[in-house]
Amino acid sequence: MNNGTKYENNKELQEEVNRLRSENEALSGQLKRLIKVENRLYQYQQELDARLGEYQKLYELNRTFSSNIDMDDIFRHAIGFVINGLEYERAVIFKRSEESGNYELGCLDGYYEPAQQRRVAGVKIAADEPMISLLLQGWRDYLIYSETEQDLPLGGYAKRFLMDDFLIYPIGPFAGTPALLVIGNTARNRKLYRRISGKKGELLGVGNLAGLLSSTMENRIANSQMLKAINQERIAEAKYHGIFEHAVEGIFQLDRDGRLVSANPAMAQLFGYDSPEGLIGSVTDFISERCPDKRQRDVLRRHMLAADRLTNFEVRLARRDGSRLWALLNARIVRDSQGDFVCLDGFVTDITVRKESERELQEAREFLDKIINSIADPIFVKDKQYRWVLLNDACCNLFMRKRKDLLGKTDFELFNQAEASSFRKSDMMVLLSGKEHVNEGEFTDPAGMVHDIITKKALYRDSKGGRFIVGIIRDVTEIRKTGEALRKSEEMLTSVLDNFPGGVFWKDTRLIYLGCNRNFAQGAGLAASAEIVGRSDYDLPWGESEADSYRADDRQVMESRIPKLNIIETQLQADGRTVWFDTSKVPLYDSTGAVFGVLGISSDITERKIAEESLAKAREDLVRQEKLAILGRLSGSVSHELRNPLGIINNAVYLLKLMNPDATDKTREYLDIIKHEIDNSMRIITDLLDFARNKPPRTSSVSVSSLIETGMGKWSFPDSVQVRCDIAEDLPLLRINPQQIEQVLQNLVINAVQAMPEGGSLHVTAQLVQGSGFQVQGSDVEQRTTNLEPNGDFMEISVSDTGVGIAPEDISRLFQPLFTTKPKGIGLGLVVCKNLVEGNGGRIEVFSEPGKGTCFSLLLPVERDDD
Amino acid sequence: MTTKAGVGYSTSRNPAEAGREAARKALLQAGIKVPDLVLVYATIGYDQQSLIDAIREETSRAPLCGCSGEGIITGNYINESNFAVSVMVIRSGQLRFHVTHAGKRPDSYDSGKALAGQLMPQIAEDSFACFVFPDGLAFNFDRFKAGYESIAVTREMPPLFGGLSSDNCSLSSTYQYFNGEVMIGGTSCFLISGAGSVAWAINHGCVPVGTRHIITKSRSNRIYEIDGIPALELLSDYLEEGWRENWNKATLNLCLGFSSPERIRDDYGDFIIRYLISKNDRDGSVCIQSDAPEGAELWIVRRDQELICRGSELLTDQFRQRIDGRKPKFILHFDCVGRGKLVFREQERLDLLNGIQDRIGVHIPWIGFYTYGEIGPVCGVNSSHNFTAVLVAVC
Repeated sequence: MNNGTKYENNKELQEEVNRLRSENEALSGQLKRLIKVENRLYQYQQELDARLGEYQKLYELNRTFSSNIDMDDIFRHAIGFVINGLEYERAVIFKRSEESGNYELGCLDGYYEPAQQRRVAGVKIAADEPMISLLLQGWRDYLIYSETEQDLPLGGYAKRFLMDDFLIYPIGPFAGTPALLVIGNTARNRKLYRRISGKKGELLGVGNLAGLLSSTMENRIANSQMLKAINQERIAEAKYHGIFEHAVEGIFQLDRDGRLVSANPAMAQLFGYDSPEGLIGSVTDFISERCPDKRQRDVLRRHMLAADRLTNFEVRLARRDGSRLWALLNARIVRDSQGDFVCLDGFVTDITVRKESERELQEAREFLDKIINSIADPIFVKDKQYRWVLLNDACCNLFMRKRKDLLGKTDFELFNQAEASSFRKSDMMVLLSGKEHVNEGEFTDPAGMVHDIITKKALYRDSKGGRFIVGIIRDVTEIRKTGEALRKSEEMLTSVLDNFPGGVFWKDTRLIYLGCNRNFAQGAGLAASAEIVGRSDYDLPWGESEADSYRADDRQVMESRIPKLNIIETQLQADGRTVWFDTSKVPLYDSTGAVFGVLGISSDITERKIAEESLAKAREDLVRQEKLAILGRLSGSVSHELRNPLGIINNAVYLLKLMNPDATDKTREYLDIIKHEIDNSMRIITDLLDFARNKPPRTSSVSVSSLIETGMGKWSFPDSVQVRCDIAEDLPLLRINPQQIEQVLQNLVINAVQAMPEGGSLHVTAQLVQGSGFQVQGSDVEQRTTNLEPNGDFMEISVSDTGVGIAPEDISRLFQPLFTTKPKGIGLGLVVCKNLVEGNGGRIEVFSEPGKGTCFSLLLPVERDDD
Repeated sequence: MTTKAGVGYSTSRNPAEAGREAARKALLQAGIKVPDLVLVYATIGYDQQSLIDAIREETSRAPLCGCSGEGIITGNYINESNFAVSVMVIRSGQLRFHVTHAGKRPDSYDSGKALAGQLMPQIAEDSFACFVFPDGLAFNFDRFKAGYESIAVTREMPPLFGGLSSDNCSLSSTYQYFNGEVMIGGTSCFLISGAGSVAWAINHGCVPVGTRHIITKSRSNRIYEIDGIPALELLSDYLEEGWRENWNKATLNLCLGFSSPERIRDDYGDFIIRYLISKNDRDGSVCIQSDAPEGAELWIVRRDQELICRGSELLTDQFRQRIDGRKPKFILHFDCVGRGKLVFREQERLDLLNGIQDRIGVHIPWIGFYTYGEIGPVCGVNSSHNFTAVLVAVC
């Protein structure tokens, strides 16, 4: 190869290399473009797949919507599509509340925490919120809020929806906007989901959904309204058909020939047919065949010829079996343009029952009239204009006028001015007060006779609220005359009773006084006899035990029907006196013979009783004086005879004790007993002697304190008895026989100690009682001193114990000779005390309460300046 | 007792509801109540902890392992949305499972070493496979392998299989599941021992574009310069506008192919594909999931749909051949993100999957996910892959 060839070869080679390089570069460039195109292709593929997938899901969603009528279910599918098809993180549908107008939660998805769900469920969007208004008024197709698009202040909604980027779409027809669709993402998961963007391509999916939802909703609403309309039409049709089929009234149509064209089941039933067809088939001329009354047939035919309607026409019709029924016929008569009869559409109501009721009502009204007219007392009714609207025959008779002349008239048209005014006044009271009213009055009949009448009136309200005066009149003219005679008779009886010297009374079976005469009333402290009516014995001044006794007698008389005569009883009178009555009681019988009460007649026998008691006391005193005289004579000699031997025995006992200091306990005990009995016997003897002795005492001036202290020093007291002396200072001297009063005090102290066998307290006091000055405290001072020397001062010496006390029935006999409550007493101790105290110009008193103790008080004269 | 396995999935948006639904379906399909092992693959839209808690509750707190994926794969079903979870439950009288994790360690070497340390006490004569699920955003397989194998010089370690957790190209966080824990930046793992074995097949579908290039500056798995110019500058010619902002999506169709070692070339093909997991705009560098030594030859490669489809058929044939008549108890499927919706339309993906499953067996419990990197041994060497599909049958 030469250089030229080599060169040429190299040149070719070089060219080839260059060409190859050029191709390589071109190929390389194409490859790079290929890779880029491929990359783009792959991206398009992905987008296409995503878009196709989305459309596929949207298609399926549309099918779901189409087959679903429940909007809530459709909403749930819609937000499911947002999450799973469009791949947004969260979606919510808010529905407009019909009540509040606000948008409230319909359904949600993409909130997986319960707290988040609760929070969003609580969101309410007001339709008048400014941003929402933009949507609802059509100013915006949607609202968007994202990290790059925030042209409206929607940040507040982000917190409410728990979304950082979101879109709000109105759903449904423009008017009303029944729902809002909210879709969005949180910032944290923004990368994982389809981004919220206002770019056209990005909004395609959600826009499609919003459109689909809106059109579905509109369709549903339209369908719903259409269904509603169809349904209402069906309901109306069914209702009218139902009315025709189930109406209680008969409905029918007659053609121009009088044939029944149609009839409902009720019509058939009215005429005794099982079906409308049966009735229609049987009638060729309804009026002729079914209306038996010629007059009514004529009326019907006249209407068919001339009238447009027939209203409330009562007609008798014939049933299939020939029986009659009363019917109320209402009909519309249809005429053509020439006014010729075309048909009659009628309604028939069976009023047989009503007609029967009306007949019965008429009978009842007549019956009532007869009853009212058979009542002997005049009865009338006036309306609120005071016009007579109802009167019975007795009323017409009383007024001596015909009913027609009275009805519609007022009292002023019938009676004189004075009488009519009186009646009107009474009527007005009834009308205004609504209360029953009775008035007495008189009226002059047309014959000039004046009638005394008593009218009882009451208000009656009818069901419509009308007010009427219902009255019944009693003509008491004759009764009044009879009553006057009766009154005079009663006055006579009352006079007799009041002049009866004793008491007369009568009671009912409940022992309630029905009456008494004046004497009885005075005793009961009543101003008039009539005041006793209605009272019982417990309401009158007598004591409860007396009332019990009277009532027991009353009952006995009424139950036994045997009079009880000459009951001697006391009665405490109103003036404080106790009066003795001789009472006789007899049962009272009514006209049937039944006992209806008791009558008592009592005579005052107090003076007689006092005389009897004085006589008995005088007899008793005489006997006692006799006994005392004998006792006095015996006691003087017997006492002297006994005192000497007792003194010897007493000395002997003393010597035995002295000579036998070592005597056994038994011996000493027996000696003590002997000594004790000697003392008792000596005291009895002393009492007998004192009783028998009736000489005036020799008095001297004695200090009270020395008198009591001397006695207390001599007397012995058991340990169980506590003794206390309360003697006031600066007491005046007594003018008494000190030995006698000391004896009295000794007796009282011994009695007091013996009254306290279980022990107790003995209290001796002395105080001045000023007779005229009432200076000593105590309400009984005056009474206690009146029996003593008038205006004198006295010393009161009291001996009180806390012993067994004295029975009340024994108190009055304490100072009677030979009365004793002690087993070993002879009943002279207190008699002697009383004699000695009274002999010293004083008095002895006793106050005792069983179980609490006894107090004996001596009222003794003090020394006076002139003594 | 034989081995019972079942798979369930859910696409509910509610994490608790989704977890319960998927677990319930899996238990129902397996016919068991308490499993020995629970495998979970889920996408990242869920609150991960709520999801795992619900699954744990439903599966009686049985040992659980898994990770987040770009999408889930089960029998006749693929879902690459942000809300999909699949659960496989296994109960076996023949197999034993041990679940563990490597903790959160920045250096993949440390992770591999720590994991081997965790597994070592559990590895027995009959241990036959180890499945790992590292964080796909911070993983260097070569470093991991070195660490893993560094501790096992005295005994043979079971082969590594698995996939790198992914996050639907958001490149923010991927998750690894270990019992009740949800980890970020960790590696979860389960070991299978017992009377069983594994069979697997791996295939990719990329073709080189243009001429050979040489790495002129690199460090570990970061490539600074190719042919003396910044790596990003070289690659930018192949990328569309906006690639800086959407790196993950922009580079899914563009990878680097390295010559495969002679010993695996017959089985695996001429190139080992590496996905560009990240870039650095300041120094113009890019990162891959294995070491990239200076001087290494590389080719720009792109995915090829036809090749992927043909590769699937080859994969299936290879798989069936390796199963050799045994009946798989269950199959795990790790497919690259770049072989999913980024390349294929939905129906195409499903057809592809159905084609594989129809040929292998439609009734075999099948679970898998779209990964940021696949792991499976090639010619006895633990290897990581990109743009591949790895099928592993436990027989």
